[in-house]
Amino acid sequence: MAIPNSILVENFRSFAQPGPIRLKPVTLLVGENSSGKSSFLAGIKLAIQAAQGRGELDFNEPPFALGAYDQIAHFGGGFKGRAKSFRLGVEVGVERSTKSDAETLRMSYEFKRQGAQAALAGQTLSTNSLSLEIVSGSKLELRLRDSSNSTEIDLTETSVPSFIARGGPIDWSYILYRARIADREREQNKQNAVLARYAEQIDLLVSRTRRFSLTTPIALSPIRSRPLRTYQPTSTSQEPDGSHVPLTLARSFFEDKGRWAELKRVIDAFGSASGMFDAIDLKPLGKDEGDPFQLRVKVGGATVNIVDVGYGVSQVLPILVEAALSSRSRLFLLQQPEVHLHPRAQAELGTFIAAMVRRSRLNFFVETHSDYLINRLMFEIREKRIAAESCEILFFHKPGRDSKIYRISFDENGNLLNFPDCYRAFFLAEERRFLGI
Amino acid sequence: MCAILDTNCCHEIFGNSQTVAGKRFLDWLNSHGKLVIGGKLGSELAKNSRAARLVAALRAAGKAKLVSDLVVQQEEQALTKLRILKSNDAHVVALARVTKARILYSHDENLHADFKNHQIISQPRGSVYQGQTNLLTRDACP
Repeated sequence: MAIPNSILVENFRSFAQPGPIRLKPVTLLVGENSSGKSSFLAGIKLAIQAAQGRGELDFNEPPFALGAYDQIAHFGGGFKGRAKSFRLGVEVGVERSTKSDAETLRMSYEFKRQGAQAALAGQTLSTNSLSLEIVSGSKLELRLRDSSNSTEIDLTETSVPSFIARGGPIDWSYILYRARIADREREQNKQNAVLARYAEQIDLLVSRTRRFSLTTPIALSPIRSRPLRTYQPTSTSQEPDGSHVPLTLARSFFEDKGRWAELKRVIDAFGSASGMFDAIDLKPLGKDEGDPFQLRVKVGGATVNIVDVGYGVSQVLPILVEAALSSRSRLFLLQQPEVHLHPRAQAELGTFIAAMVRRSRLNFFVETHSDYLINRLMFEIREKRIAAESCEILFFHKPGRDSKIYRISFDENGNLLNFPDCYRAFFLAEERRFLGI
Repeated sequence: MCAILDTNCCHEIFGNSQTVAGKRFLDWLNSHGKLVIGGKLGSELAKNSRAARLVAALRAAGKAKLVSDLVVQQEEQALTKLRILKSNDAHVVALARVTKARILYSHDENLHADFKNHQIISQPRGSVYQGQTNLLTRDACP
């Protein structure tokens, strides 16, 4: 499984054309409220889903609610008005079959207004030398551009097969399939002959998409589910608010002692280091797996129900469990993981994230207002427990209508590099105000 | 250019009797200046609670750069062996040499002499800040 090298957003929400934003294993999204952080997280999720080709995109799938076309497409103000379309995309590094170096494959998707909603209007698959564009609507138009020949060929498919007319991204394999059919039937008509002539180039491009499998991101809500005194074992389908997590713990407890032991080890270690609790446990209320159960934590020598220890435990538990259970290279999109956590626990989250990157090569995009989490990550870099080049801060600054993204990196001592003058201006002013200087 | 702040000037910046030079220096740090900290100087600054607090905020904003204590200590030991310093602040001179910080804010005249000695600090040469605005430039701090 892989994550994209970069994400592309264009005319999306408050982003005009910020250019491709590179993804690092740990990326912290910081900035004032309404500066575009959550929108950017949503853009990551949608761009990856589009590239995975899993059907029509839902711009209001929890935990994100982007609205209809007018709320999603960028508004430039004045004569610029609302953008006629917006674009989402990913860049992925793929190894070439004949050379050892990797090349960048770009997959981008254009959306236009259809009624009140946003609908897919086109998609592009490209490398530096070759691009294949589909413009979809009542018919399919293919445009193949070869930079070395500067050739642009229009190939129009007048009937759109129903299985690709449902509104979602078109699987590039379909285009390859048509090109290969055309190659075999090149005598039949002129249109097929044109498509057949470029079958090999289309094959070259489309085959790149099979050299990787993009990991589906796990996006958690900014507020996770409330704890319950007693849980009923029902469905464990993944929910952004983490309401499935107690049931996931119960399944491990009953069905896989090894997995339960590992989960408990990770959760207990965090609880102890953060000062939140000493250990977690599960209390079945019946003999069967289908019987209700309770989650309990040991705090200061006493074992109590999770409801009786405050919200912090239930808010952080989904993050700990999902990270502990995730396979390598999984991507997490977290919004304010620090909510309801004491600063000590916020700081410990920074250590936890660094450890998960080291242990399981997980990737974290974290929207946060927590200085404790950020500072602890800087400390982890300085202590060489995570590489400086694996971490980055994306600073979202929105002085007017448009959001600007500044990429701030770290040196080997955890010091910030390439930050703008306006970075943390409020914090410095506030400290001076407090000190009376 | 990056700067080094000696503890004997902390009161001018962080104290209740902030001076014009101190305010100017702080305003520069607030905008495009940068402080370097490391070795013994870091520990000394931390003893001043007001300085420690603002330096922490500066670090979070990227305007204070932390340098490895070990690297500074090694340079300090090498300098001490040479026996060429007038001051007893080899740790400050060492910090300048490892970071290429070339602005010193201090009232120690022996340290001034060491800082301006091109045989000890050069490429570029060191300067002593005593309120001059021309020193507080926007040059990139390495």
